[in-house]
Amino acid sequence: MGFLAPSLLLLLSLATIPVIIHLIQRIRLRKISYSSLFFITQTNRETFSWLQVKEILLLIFRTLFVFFLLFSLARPYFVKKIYTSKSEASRLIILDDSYSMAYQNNFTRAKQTALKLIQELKKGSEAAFLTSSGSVKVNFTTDFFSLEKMIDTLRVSFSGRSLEPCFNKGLDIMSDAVQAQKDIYIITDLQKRALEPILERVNFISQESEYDITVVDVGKENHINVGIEEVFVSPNFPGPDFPSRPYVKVKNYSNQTSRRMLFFSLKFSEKESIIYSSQKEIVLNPYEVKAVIIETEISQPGKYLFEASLSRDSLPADDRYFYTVKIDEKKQVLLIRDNAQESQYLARALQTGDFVIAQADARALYQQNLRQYAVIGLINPTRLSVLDFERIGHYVSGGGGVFAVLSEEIQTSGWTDILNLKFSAQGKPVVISPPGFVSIQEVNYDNPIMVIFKDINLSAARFYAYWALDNFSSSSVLAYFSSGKPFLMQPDNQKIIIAFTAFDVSKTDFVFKATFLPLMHRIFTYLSSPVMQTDYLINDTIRVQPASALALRIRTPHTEFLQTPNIENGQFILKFSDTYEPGLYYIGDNVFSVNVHPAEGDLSRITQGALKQHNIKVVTEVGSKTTDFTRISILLAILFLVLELVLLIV
Amino acid sequence: MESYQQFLKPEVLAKLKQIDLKARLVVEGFLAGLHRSPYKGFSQEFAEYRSYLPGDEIKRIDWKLYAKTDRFYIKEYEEETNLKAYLLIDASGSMRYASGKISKLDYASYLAAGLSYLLIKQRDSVGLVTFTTTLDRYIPPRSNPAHLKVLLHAIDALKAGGDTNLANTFHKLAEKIKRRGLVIILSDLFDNKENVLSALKHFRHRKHEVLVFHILDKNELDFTFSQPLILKDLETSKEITLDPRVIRKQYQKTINEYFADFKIRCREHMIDYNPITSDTPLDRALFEYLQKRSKYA
Repeated sequence: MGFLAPSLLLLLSLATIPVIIHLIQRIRLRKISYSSLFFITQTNRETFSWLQVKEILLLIFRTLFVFFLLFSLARPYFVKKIYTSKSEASRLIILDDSYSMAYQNNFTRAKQTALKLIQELKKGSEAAFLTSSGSVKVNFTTDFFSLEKMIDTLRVSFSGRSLEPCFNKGLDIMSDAVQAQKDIYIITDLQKRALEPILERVNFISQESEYDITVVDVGKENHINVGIEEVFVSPNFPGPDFPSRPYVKVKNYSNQTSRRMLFFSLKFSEKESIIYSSQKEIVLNPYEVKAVIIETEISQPGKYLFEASLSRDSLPADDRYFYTVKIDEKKQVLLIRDNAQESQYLARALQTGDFVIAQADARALYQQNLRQYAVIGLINPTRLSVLDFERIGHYVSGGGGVFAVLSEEIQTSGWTDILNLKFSAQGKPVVISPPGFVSIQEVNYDNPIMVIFKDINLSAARFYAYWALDNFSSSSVLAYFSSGKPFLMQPDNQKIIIAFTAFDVSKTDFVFKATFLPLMHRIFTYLSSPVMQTDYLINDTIRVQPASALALRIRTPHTEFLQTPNIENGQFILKFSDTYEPGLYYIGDNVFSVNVHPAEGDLSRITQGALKQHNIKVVTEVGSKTTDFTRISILLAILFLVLELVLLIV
Repeated sequence: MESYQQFLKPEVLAKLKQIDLKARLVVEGFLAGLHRSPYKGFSQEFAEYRSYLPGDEIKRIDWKLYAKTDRFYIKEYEEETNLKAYLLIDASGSMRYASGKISKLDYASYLAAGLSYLLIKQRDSVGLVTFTTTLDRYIPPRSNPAHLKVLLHAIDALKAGGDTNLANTFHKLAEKIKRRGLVIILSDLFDNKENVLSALKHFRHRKHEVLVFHILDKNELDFTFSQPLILKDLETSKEITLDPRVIRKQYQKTINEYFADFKIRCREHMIDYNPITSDTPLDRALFEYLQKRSKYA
């Protein structure tokens, strides 16, 4: 027998109250001298005996009533031991604790299953335990009591990880298994995104190894869930008639029309007070994604903190979303180049706009705190290392913009490998001696950057050298050279613009043309876009580059403490990775939002049939069914109450 | 007259100290309430004159004296009787019980004192027997007024205690009393019913008239305890724990059946059986006696 709330068993001591009251009453009974017990003993002896029995029965019924009532609070259940292993076994239990498991009672069932799997083990067996979020890892142990106690206290995480890393860890643990019978149980809701990445692997290991792998399905076939996918601010180019507004993207993951209330609040971080709040009813058709406009403007420079939430449903984790934006007065731009001459015209052009320009040598990129810049210009950098590209990649994924100028000397491997730009870097540098040249010929005016040049002639500029790209997707090209090769490109709609020429008087006269300034302003305004997003997901590591070694105050949704930064590559770096729950995290002067992975809200399942096709054993119950004794306990309490009442009436 | 009648109430009598005073007040109070004089002469030996009282027979008026004095006088005669009355008082522990101020033994004492006074006043011989498990005291019957003091002194000195064995005591007594007489029993009769009846029959067998005053406390009849309690037997010191509310009906049924059966069985054997509670005015008991006395006459 087990209990879902064993701590409440302490209340059982209250069941002694009727007995204590009975004893106190007996002690406190008045003693009266009476003439003779002659007539009392003459009273029907059977009646008298029955009364004594009745008194004892009343006490028993009353005690049992209180006992079973309190017992039911501890939520007892019976596990009938039908052994899944006939002999001693080494058993690894992988418990999916991603937040999708919080749907209805899935996680409770999962814990019960895990407990059952441990309780079933024969003496001499060993068990190991893992959770998909990585919060718990227990290597093989025979101390089942502690293991059960730990499982009993487990709570579902906010993680949205797939089972893949956890499964790999599990295989490492299994290498320490000592028993002949080795089995792995994966307890999950069969969510597609969690299980799909490991299907082939599980199939392979089942076939090739001695491990007996079983997936235990604790999920539900039908589900209703609505979650917030994203909060963003649009448009990127605000004008007097088009102010930037927040949007909340809400998704209905079920095949039923759903109705929810959307609550929204906006804080201006300088004041730490709510400056706007609203609520709106939304109706979503099956599987519909809807971007709900919030009727407020984001225009003043400063930091804004958003919180959007939906009226709760069976999966509450994805019903809240936090978001932060920062609007700078002047955009900070960092130009990275091999020598100062290559960037001088671009720097001068930008200085005439709302930009503050900093320049650095490509070899010193690692010394820069990239996050403090709205845009980084990479002006033909030939000496960037793999680590530099990693940092740029991290900067871009954090919402930063990059303007890259590539010319004939560029080495392109880092661009494709690290930034994953998905365009072929194959090509060759083309140099045309004057009077030959190419000009800007075909422009994509649908692009928001190029739209203002619709009635302006860009073809006056002459280019004597450029990078002729071999393979490219025409959809990502903003403007072409007259040779048919791309002049400006935006791969995959990321905040990266690539120019395939150098802005140097020896290679073009474009820097002297009237269109150069507005085009550069336009590109950098777009890349710096009025908002700088600093959005993280659960379990991400937040990196901050403080100016000094002084400890920074860290405030999470539940705690507050000081942490001293480390030194990496001569720079102060503070890494904070305890992002276990969604909310706002304050580190020094910075504020970061951490959210659950929205895709985890999609409860679509892999069918059991599909698992069987992959030769994966899948069950819905382990051993015999667990009998929930809570209801029986309440019924017994009612029965004893009724018996007591009947006895009192008789 | 009403001031005398208040002394028929046991709780009023309890406030008085002297037993002879209690006896006199009981009888005077009782007599004052009667419409007819209870006294009747049975001999022709003149004793005294007294004023005519309503209810006296007209034939008993002395007309000669009327002619002289112009007032109605009646001639009183010394009674001559062979009545020997025996007062049997149960002084067992159970008689000590009192739910109010008056215990059953107190009530029996007042009643015995009153009866003694009345009997002696009628020139009847009165004896007294007190008993618990055995005979405690035996005062043979006499009729002279000085004997009243002896009786009242013995009654006043009564103290309850010990067990009871009515049947055995009555059998012994029935054997002891040779001449037929009136046996007045004052007891709560807490003993085996069959044995007690057998003993009473023994009195009848010896040609005695038997008058039983079955004295009980009101609470012994109603059993009005309201809370669970422990009852301790005053005779045996045995204890029993019970909830009176639960057994009350059954108890009342048992005791009522007991009395009803006892009454019928007594009637079958010409025994006068009078159940009486310790809060009943004493004139009721005295009236029962007078009825019995008249039968005896």
